[in-house]
Amino acid sequence: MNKPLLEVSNLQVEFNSRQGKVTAVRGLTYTINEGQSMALVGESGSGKSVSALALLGLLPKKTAKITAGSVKFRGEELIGAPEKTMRKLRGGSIAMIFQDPLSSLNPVLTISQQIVEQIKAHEKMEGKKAEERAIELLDMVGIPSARERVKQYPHQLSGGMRQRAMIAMALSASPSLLLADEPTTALDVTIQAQILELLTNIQKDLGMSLLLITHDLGVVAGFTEKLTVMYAGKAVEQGDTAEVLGNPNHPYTLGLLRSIPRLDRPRTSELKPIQGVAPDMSKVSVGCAFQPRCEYAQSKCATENPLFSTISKDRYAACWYPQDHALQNESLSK
Amino acid sequence: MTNNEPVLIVENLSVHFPIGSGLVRKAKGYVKAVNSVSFVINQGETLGLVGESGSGKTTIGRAIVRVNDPHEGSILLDGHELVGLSPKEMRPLRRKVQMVFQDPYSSLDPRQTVRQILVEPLVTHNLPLKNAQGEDRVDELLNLVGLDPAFASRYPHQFSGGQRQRIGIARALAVEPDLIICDEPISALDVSIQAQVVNLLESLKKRLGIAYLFIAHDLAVVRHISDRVAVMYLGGIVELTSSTELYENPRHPYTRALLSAVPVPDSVVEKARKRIILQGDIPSPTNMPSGCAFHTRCPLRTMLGNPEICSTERPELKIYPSKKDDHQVACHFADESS
Repeated sequence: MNKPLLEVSNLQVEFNSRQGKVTAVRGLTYTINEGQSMALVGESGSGKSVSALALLGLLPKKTAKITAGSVKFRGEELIGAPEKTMRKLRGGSIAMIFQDPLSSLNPVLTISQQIVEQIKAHEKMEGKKAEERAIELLDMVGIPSARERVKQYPHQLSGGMRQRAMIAMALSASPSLLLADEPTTALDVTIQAQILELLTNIQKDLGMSLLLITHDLGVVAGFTEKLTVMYAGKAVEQGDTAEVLGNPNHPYTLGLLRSIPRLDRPRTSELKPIQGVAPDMSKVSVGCAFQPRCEYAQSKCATENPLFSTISKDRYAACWYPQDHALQNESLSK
Repeated sequence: MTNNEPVLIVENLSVHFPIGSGLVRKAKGYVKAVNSVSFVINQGETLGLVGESGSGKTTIGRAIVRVNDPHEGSILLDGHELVGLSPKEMRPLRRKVQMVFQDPYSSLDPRQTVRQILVEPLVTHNLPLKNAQGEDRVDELLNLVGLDPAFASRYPHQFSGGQRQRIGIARALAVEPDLIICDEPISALDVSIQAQVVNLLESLKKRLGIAYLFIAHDLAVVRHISDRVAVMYLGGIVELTSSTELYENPRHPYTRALLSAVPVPDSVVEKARKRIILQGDIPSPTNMPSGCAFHTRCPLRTMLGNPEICSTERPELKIYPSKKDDHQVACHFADESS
């Protein structure tokens, strides 16, 4: 199980906009092993979604450019790979589901037609057989009376059902890696719980790897093994999910965890926000990008860029003054 | 700050929207967005209103400011009945209740400067542009929400999301309301910014004694900010009690499922947790289930062997005495669940 499936190293993505060059991803490194699940967490503009699109070669060709780095899938380099290879990979070995299932489904095709299209793109299969397979897949993702539902159009399904249909489609070619970009953000919390449960079960049953992109640290906790936190286009912290959440090294991760009210902790009188705002990605930053908002920053932070480096075993952070805060003890002592 | 003078008394409020009606056609049916909802907000108090999409929480907020006309019921604001008032009669009362919206991008006029945005409500209500100390009101308001008064000549697009939400809050404060309806005021903001806005709302409440109706789907934020919380499901309040009591001792099976579904950022807690996963989706408000609106998904009903009363009789919101605070629950079997 410890064979690396996806290896991303020092990925950098640049966009040409009217305001000039925007470097959206400024250095992202991670590895996902076979059967492993990793979460990529960050706020809007941190580059988490762009980095996922870059893996699949889905960035707009006119405006975006991968300026550095490498993406290896089963040891094979994907950056600069021919379009034919990428086409086979997308929806095949690497499948993706998005935040808004309504806009990622085709409104004028039935669910069956869309799944069958996907199946036929990757496998030679007769129409009838493919339709049966579509029903099987819908059954697998827990859509009740799948035989009837398969004939319906996306607008006839609820948000949760649509996301299930998207997942069914993503699973149609038995992918080794599923990229899920904010898969539950558009859903209500009780439906979110259903979808997360489904994804966890499927991932375990199929032994699939999962890259979960989200801004919700709660979603991350329950069902990913590994966590990478991004800030301003860079990975700032990485490690085992439970360890990172329980004892964050980077001041940004620590700040995030302290700023959210939590149901598992006693009610506090005041929240502790991170001051200031995220940096403008069209500007080149000198030093650490988080430094203007960081309460632990010292003079070195403003001038020298901290490298993403080992803090302790299997823990990485990009910080000159990594913190050591066991958050559990912090709340108990209060 | 909380004293027991009510600012707002909502009684038996129902808001129904006709389907397919026009000048000639008759309504085919109604979307029953809000059904017989009653609650009180006291001066300087925050009432949290939580529920999933389609539960009617936003419609209640909009009915209070009379964007949606109630089908029946009564809304008393500072002792004035709002239901049935003409727009002209409503106008002076609008000063007492203001709104802060979810999306700080679409709720500010992109072609007005911050000064224009903040002066408009003052002019509309014939309020002075300077305060008692002779200070410019716009400067005062910007200071109040933590923005530099020098920003007054800027346009909304020159601000970040969090700053825009501060402008929206300043606009609501301009006419010195007694009650502000905050409709998902932080859900469009990034996590690191949300806490800034929550702290601002809390400090304003302390300083100015405003009451809030805080509408949100984020249960952790609602617990943090609210004195009391009402949980809505499919147009009705299913549980209403103090924030502490609700989160420590939820009684309605829906509230329990909702609380258990919220993920927390702690892997140890998450792995040990027992989640109540509700089956299916929220039914459509055009075709409400008979009896208790929640009976189609209720885990407690299943556990009790599907008692008939759940599908035949709508449970009233009844008071159950509790250790800490009175606890209102709309469930035939509220005693069973504790």
